[in-house]
Amino acid sequence: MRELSQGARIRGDDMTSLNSVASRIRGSVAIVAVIAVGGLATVACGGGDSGGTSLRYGYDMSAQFTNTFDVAESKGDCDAVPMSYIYSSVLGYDPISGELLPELATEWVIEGGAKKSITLTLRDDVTFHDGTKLDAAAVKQGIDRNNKNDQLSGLDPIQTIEVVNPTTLKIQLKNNQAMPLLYTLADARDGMIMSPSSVDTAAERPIGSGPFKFIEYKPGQGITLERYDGYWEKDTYDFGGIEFTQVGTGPPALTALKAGSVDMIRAEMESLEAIESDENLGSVVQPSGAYLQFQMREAYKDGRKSPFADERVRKAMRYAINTEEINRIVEREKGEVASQPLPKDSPGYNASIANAYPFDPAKAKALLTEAGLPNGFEFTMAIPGPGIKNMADQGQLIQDQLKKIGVTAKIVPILGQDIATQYYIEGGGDAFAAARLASMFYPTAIDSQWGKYEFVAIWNGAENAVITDLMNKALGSNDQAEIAGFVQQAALYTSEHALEVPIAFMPQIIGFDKARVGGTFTGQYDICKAPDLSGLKMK
Amino acid sequence: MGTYIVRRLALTVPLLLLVSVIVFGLSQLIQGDPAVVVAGGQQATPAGIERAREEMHLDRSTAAQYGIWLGGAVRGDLGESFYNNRTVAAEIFTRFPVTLSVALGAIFVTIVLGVPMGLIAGVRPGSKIDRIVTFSSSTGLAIPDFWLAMVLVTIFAVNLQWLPAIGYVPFTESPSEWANHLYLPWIAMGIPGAAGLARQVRGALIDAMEQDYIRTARAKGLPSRMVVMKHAFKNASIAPVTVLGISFAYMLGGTVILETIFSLPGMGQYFYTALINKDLPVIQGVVLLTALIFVVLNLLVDVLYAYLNPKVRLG
Repeated sequence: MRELSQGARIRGDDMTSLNSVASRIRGSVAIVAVIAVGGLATVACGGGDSGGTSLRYGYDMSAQFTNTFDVAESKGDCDAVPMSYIYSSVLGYDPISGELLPELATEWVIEGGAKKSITLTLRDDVTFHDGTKLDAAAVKQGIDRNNKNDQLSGLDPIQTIEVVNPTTLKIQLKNNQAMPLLYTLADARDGMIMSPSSVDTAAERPIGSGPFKFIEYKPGQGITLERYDGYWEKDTYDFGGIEFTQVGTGPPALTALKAGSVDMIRAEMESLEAIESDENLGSVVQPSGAYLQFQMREAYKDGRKSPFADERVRKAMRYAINTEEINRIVEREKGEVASQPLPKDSPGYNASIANAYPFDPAKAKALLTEAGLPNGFEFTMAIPGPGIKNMADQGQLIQDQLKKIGVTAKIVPILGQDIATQYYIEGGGDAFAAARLASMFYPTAIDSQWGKYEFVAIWNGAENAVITDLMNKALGSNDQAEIAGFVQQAALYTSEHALEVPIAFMPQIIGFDKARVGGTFTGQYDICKAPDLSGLKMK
Repeated sequence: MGTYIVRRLALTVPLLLLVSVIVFGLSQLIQGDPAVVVAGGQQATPAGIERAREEMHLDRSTAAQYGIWLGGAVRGDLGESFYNNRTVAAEIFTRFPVTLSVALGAIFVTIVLGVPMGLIAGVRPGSKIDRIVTFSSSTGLAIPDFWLAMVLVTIFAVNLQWLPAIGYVPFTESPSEWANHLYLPWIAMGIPGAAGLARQVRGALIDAMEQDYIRTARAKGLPSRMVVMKHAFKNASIAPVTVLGISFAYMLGGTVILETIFSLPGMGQYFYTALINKDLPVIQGVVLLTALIFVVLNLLVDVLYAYLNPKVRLG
């Protein structure tokens, strides 16, 4: 400021007056500075978050929540994450072993042949958050209501639901696929049961019988849940509540965690290094059933063949794509290198094909020559994007690896919401390098890609009679061992005929603040599945 | 003055109509079929897609769709989001106060920093303080607001933990928490604006100080404070007022990256999510609102022009 008066050399006759003006302006700046500093000082004293015993879970609601707690209106799979803590489901399941677990139903009995029925026995000690007792009529009403949601097609096989007595329900199916329906009732949204008293208000004020009751939802900001002391599985949760707090996916979530604004986040792989290098933060890396995949179109809907119609070309892709390198770079070696659509822990995993296609570019080149393509070929490879780092990295690596055998992949990014239309329906590419979401009932990991009448199979020209037959047997069976046998056979078939290039199963990552969060808990099995927080403790 | 305002208001009607045609027309160019997405994407059945198409009026002609949309928009009904179960109008009603809070604070920072800096530099061009202000404002202009936001978050939220890194608390809930959550966005958004404003004020003031009427004012023996503040600054403020008007409209439109960094549930975040999802009703609604804001603020700027410079309204 001193320089102003020293440097004031213009219009010397007005020197004094100008200094007076400048002095007033300086005064204004000083006042603003004082206000600003004062403000910050106030904040410094009072800006801390008391936290309490609630878990502040950073979650990208703007991208992953469709503003309703009513399953019948829900438009997104990821709505299930907050809903899972509010509602109990008819059944539960172990995502790793695939085993069905009791939840609201303690027993399930399958009967019948071509059209099966399922008799469910319900717990008699469950009350909703509003004090209403759960009974068979409430469960029937809940399932019927959920079935109104077009997106929940897994409930379509239900023909009728009969209330036998207050704790017994009988579901009559239109077909013989009872096991898929049981898994559907254990799936995130389909099997969630609301209180009969909240039918008209569930979208905004849900009442369930889950471990946490709904307190408040502020669109774009957060969801507040409070522990429900009347939860039927008492003492499972040892903290007071969950505050879902809006944070953007990726760096904004990590920043919020580092700043102490949230206690826990779902982190992206690229944030893991930053979490691991921060001594105040911890991470949970959870194996998942979702996997990186190079999916090949066999034919277009208009009858045109893609280069991958030839089995030898598909096999060449399996030999040419270095799955270990992709796992190392894209998944930072945290993923499980894949040899088939199911991970090692799945009952449907077929160990005999674990090393069926070692990385072997020479063999890939020989197969191309055998297929009449000694100089390679060019094709269009769709990837999700632009702007999705792991997908872009994977696409780039595949492009580089295929170039070594003379195959040119032209990368075309497609926005996530347009994949169904642009890639599948409009035929926007010969192959799709992406991530395949985890399947709840493990046979559907195969059936949904190559089974008859399945969306992906139809548009990829990949409906396969052998797979369809095996899957019909698997889906119609009540015997877990038998189901696993059929799925293993199907997995073998996908490998022998190189129907895809499975690359690596993708871990899901949770980052947390060590000063606030302790205990043991698991991460998400899939991006839209809620983490199991039952062993979590707040410090 | 009244006639001038009425004439300008009348001009906004065809302008808004034109904007509505452009907004609707551009949204039709977006690739992809939202009916497939709404019907469940890869789980969609042909019947479900058809049902979704009917519900969304996508089975009607483009002109009919425009008519339905415009009819609703005139009544304040901007339709319902394809994806999030809320009407666009309700969502804007919830989110606009957030963006308004950010914009008001940011424009305050812009003015209280930019105007004095421009004045200090403008009254003494070529001086050391002028060079400092010019350098600072150039630097401020060169700094992207999102980068500044990240630096501020790192310093004040992550390292010092003085301020929250994310979130928003409504003013009605807690004025102090409202301000605490907005200090960083205000500064991040206000500083680049202040830099631009300072340069505008400086340049305009230097020009004004060289005019004959300033010499006359001095000759009359008016004190310098009055010469600068009443005569020079009033005339010099026309160009800065335009800059401020545009800046404020831009801020009210929502700043996508800043709202994402600070997890503010404002218009920018809403628009960004809609763009990713190709949520046409939301895109159309937000763009139309933004256009309306620009039109209204331009009108206000023009009225202010007319006040500052009577030749404008006479013309």
